[in-house]
Amino acid sequence: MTIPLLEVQDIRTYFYHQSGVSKAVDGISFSLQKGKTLGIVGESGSGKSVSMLSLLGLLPSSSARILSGQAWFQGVDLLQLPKEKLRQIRGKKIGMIFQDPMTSLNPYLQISTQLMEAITEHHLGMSRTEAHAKALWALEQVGIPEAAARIHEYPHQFSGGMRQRVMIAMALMTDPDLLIADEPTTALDVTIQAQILAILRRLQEKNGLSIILITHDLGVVAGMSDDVLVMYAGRPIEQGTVEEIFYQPHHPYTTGLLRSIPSAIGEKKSLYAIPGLPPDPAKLPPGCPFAPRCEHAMPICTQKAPPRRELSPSHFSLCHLEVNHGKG
Amino acid sequence: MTKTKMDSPPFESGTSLWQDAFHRLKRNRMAMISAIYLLLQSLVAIFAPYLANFSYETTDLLLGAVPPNGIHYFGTDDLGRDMFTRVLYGARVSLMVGILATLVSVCIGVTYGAISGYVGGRLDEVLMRGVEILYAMPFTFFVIILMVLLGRNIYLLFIGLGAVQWLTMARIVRGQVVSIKNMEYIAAARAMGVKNHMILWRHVLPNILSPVIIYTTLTIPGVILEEAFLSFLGLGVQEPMSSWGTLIADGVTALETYPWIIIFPCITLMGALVALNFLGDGLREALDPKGTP
Repeated sequence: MTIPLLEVQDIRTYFYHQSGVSKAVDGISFSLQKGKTLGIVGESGSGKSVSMLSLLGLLPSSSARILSGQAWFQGVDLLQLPKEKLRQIRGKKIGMIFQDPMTSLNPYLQISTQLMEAITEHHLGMSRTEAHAKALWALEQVGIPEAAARIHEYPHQFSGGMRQRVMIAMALMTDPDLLIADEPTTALDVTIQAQILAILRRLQEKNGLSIILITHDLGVVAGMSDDVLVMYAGRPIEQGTVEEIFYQPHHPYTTGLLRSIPSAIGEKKSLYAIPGLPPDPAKLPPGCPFAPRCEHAMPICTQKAPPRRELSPSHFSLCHLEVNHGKG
Repeated sequence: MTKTKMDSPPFESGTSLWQDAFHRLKRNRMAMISAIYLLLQSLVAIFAPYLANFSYETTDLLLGAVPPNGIHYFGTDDLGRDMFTRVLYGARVSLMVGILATLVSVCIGVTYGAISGYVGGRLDEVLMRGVEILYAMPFTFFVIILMVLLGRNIYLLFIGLGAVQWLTMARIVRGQVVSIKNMEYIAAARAMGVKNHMILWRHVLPNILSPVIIYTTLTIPGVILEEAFLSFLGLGVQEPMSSWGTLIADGVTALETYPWIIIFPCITLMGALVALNFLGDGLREALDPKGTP
């Protein structure tokens, strides 16, 4: 195997409040090869976004602390880099797109200014004309019609889907090696979602981009990812290739997630929902955090942290259940 | 996919929010009349030396106070000085104080408020408590003491008045910055590796400009009044230079005998204040159409 583009080991990010400590990210590890996609799945508040913000040094400095971990990206540990060095990587080598395209663009600036900002900020040695040409190229890459005319427009003249395309174009301006997409399609219509995902896939094939796709939509993961990391209460509870997660899920939470995907075919039955709510990260129970909601819960689950079960070299799960118990 | 240009409001391709605001302002008749009035008033003030038939310092004791007539449009004061000339020159001082002192207050207030809001945390606490302490101080006395100690210098007046007026501006700006900095496009800019000062300059400041502009136009009349008040107390501009405030102060003593001495400066002062307030209101409506019912 070649050296992965990004190798993350055991990141722990805690938030310190007056009322206590929230273990927002509690020991996640993964590695991402060039040109591959990692899907990170979990409910709201499971630590998906916080783990990515930890990598980029974008956590609110007042309350968040990264307690441990390493994140090797192109020979440097992102978590050990001084602020200024990390800023130089951010936006240049690693692009990020956000969930809500309606609020992610500055309403007072032309699209062109916002597109060219990354280039001017990172001093890539391009003239204004070259940067402008690059911006046009980026808009065409994401399929914006009449890019030459629309580049001088303002965000309010674009629809939601178009704005998300602009966001992707912004991330493309510096030819990043890694794109972190934080729920890129959550705020969009299903038809637009499909278009945006198609754009991401095409860019990946063309430019060898690696993508970390954060989502709570398993359908998106199935279509896009090579590997999947399922997070619950800040912990990675199951990780494997997309086939392993979808066809041989082990953890009851993963099974539950898969069962709660609505199906358009077959007879109509009421939709499955995992009972209960995710735990408050400030008050995690001892043992398995999922135990109170788990239909297979055993007495040991509430007392002892679950062991790591290797199901294959690429597949593991954190659960007390014996292997070959959890069938989807 | 398709652009729906037909049913969108009359936005040309590439209309910025500023251009929209300007269109709205143009439709507001009172604001436009006020703007034109202020422009004329400023031009008259700038070209006062060419418009006045008399010198503002020449006295004519033999003439004394005469009511308005064909030669002295606004009459003369008890020393025989032409009131039209004095009001023209008074406009120079009053408008200059109004604009420059406001500029001083905007510079201090925006910088202070923006840093406080953007950096946040403990610095924000300290800076804002500082503003609160300063709020509690009687500022008119502060300016009076400054004037007494450092002499009656007109530039000092700008700084003194400006230094008094920035507190509210700092608060307004700080509040705006705090709300803007949590917007997603600020997070996006940070994720793009934009430097902090550039984020503040390029992404935060343009978004808080409308409240700043609005508050600025409403500060100018306040400062003009403050200067008039100080002049009235005898602490502002010195004879033979005049501002609207000193002219009114002069006029008060002769209110019963020569009323024209006070009437004309009062009318011009009021005209400028009313116009500034209308313009400020118009700008507020134009820049923040959602805020007006």
